[in-house]
Amino acid sequence: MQVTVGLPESEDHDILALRRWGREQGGIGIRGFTWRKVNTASVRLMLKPALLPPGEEPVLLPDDAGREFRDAEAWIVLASHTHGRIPWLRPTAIFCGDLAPRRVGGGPGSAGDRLQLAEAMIGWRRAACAFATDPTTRDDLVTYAGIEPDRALLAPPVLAPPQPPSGIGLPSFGSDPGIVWMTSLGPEENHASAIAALRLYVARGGALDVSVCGPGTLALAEGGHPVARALAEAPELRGRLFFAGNRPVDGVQRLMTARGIVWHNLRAEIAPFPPFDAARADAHFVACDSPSLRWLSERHGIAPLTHAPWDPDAAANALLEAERRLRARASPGHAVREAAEEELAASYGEILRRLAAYG
Amino acid sequence: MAESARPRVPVGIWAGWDFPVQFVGEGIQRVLGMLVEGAAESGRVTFHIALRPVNVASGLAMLRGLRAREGDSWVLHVIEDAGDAPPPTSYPLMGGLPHDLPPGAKRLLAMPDRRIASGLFVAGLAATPLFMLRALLRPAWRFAWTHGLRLSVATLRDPVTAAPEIAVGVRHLPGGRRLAQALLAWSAERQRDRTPTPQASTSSTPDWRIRSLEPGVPAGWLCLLPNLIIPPSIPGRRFVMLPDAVMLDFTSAWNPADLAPGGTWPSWFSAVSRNLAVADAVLTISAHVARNHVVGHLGVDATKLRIVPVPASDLAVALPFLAADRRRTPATRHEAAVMLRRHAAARDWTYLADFPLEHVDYIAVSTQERPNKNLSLLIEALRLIVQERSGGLKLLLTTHVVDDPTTPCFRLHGLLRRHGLELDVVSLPRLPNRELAALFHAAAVTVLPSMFEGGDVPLTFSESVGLGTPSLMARGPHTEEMLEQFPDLAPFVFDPYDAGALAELITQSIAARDAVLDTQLAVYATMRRRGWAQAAEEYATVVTGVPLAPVRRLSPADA
Repeated sequence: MQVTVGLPESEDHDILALRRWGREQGGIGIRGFTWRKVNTASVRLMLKPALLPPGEEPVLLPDDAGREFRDAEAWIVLASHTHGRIPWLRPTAIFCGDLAPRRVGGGPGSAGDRLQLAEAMIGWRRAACAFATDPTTRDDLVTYAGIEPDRALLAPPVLAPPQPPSGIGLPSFGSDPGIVWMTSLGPEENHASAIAALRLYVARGGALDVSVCGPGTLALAEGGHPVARALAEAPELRGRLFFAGNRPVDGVQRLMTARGIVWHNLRAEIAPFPPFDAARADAHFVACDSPSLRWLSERHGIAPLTHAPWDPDAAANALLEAERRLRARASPGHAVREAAEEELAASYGEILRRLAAYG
Repeated sequence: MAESARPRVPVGIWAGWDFPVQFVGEGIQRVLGMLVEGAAESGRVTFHIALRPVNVASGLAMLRGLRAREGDSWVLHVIEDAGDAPPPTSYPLMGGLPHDLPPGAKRLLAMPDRRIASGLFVAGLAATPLFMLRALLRPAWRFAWTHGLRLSVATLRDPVTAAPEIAVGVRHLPGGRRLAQALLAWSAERQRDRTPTPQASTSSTPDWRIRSLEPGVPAGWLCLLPNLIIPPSIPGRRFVMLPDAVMLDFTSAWNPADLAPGGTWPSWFSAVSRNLAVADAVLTISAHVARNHVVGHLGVDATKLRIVPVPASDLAVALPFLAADRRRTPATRHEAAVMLRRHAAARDWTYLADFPLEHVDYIAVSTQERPNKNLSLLIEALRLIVQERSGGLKLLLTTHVVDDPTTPCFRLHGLLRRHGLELDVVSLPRLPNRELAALFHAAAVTVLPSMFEGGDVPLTFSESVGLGTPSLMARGPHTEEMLEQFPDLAPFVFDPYDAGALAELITQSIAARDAVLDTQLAVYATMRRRGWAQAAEEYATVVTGVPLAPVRRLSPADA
């Protein structure tokens, strides 16, 4: 089977590195693409009308819709909340990492975006199946996206293989040990609560520096951002908070190992990547409590220190506890267990089987 | 239904809305339908229902859909203006086009549709600038209307009442203070000159008539709502139904324009005062409204009060697939979900059109958005469940979600946007009875967060439990009166200010749905001993004096 992975063109992906990785794995092509709105009448020149979503004008098409995307036997779509008007060229299986807009008011997909989200989810209902890697998101596929339960599947997360070293060194700022705060720009990242927690952490004697990592996080320090405004009113955090920006996966993992504590203060902890990254780095992992995290931890041997998402006081205490354990050289307690080969084969085999049957 | 051959007592029902009303959904129109079915069941009452021409079509549609025979349980009368043409002898508005079409419509019917389409296209093009202009000006017009224009127009109708409000505005103008004082003094003087008796203003009532009435039949009219004035030209005694005067308790949440002189509520009070002054008796559906609103606020003599509570409702007939024990099964839940999907698809509600509702726990709420309905509490409870407790619940409402920031009680729209709950709180407005029954049956639970209802047992409770779905209600004067009769329902009554407790109660009730339903079905069985047949007879007893059924009066202790 030949696999082509299409990724939207953006600065978030290092396409060259991914292509290199794909070549090394063998048989995996990586290509970027750009969505464009195309008049439905024009699209009909290329595609059978039956393949077009009914009543939508215009439709979104990737630039190379005439080639790999059209000719593939099936698609596995890494669902995006906003790409609703994708013509369903072939049978598709939708992967849904999370439906965070449901859990975070004012988060991604807020206000007008809800219409686009609804449009996308209505499109998912036409797919052969949709799958998630945690039960909460799988339930959301039914109760929020409206997919029939027998077509909403649960599959175990697949851990990415260790990445080749990027050659980028550790940042020169911040202390070792320290705290790596994994975040990004979205409102689901709970920034106000995080700043309040850090102030309490410092006030109670927390002595570690904080490195802020993640896509777009350099913008958090800029004047207009609420985080920057909150920091201006928190002089005790000056000199304790460093913005490291978005770094390659291996760089983040080395940073986590060096600092020793990873904090993920998302209001709805859903995506499995930071917990696994922290576990692989053998760092203490502090995160907001959620059913998804509990499920992931139990099944895959992650040992988080959890706190309520809305409670800066509890978050500060969890960070202090992580610092205490780190200084006492206590083990973070992770014992990462990947899903068994048979389970992976059964779950993802079922998805492929449905794709084949749907076609 | 027992359409018996015994002589029936004729009772007039005055429903003289001068504007179009819907005969589906909530409100007194639904109660009218249930009363008519009660008359059919009783076999001893005929309701003579008087409607303005504007409502005849929708009224007939509702009446002909009831389990009640025309001519026996109900007769429809058309209220005409003195200058109106005689009404048709049959009702042409149902079941096809009227035969007596205007000449313009006949010419259009003779044309091919294609030609009409071309003409409409040209007309649409020509009107586009006007549509655009209207859309552009609408916000400004609405703003101006709410904040001054309406008051200015009110001065033309009633300058004496409007003068103090105008004085508030002009006193800030250069030299306006003196003018404002003069206006206030003038208004006060004119107010003193006015005759306080309500009968004085009846001269402004329309000269309406009903040609189809036989002499002396009916002998009395029951006004469905207290502000529906029966003009002196209509013969018969007057009885007024007063379900509530809710604005007395929730004044500030209405649109300020509704409260201003000439606005909705001053007009309402004026009409109610006139009606109450000529009424032989006033009927309420609860003791708390009789006591607090009618006697306490409106000053009606307590001896004129009669209390006819709304009986338990039963929508089971709308769902033929419902089992005898009324409980939800996977099969009946699926049937109900199919009905709702079909309804949604026909209305282009795309999100619900193929939504697997039979696999999703949702709360059903049948209500309008009003100041007393307290929907914001339920939204907050849902937010807690979904966003803080990672639950998967939805909320399906029958109310329109109105975007009107000038009216304080319309909070739903803003709350849903702020919390990003637009896809978990979904509106299904104007549901017909069948689909309303399906909505209730497939729900995990129904909730009525209202702080105040005019009755005692909320209609939602009986409709929901009768369809196999547990119901939760907020504490208020209505549920307190309910608990006096049915104390077993106390665990299902919640604090109307505590969203956290409500979230907890909803979660627990869904988890223990069968046990909750057991308790509530037992209470429902007791409630159903008094049905709509008895209610119809109680109304007939009050209006005609024929003792068909005992009618409750306000006890001296209550008064």
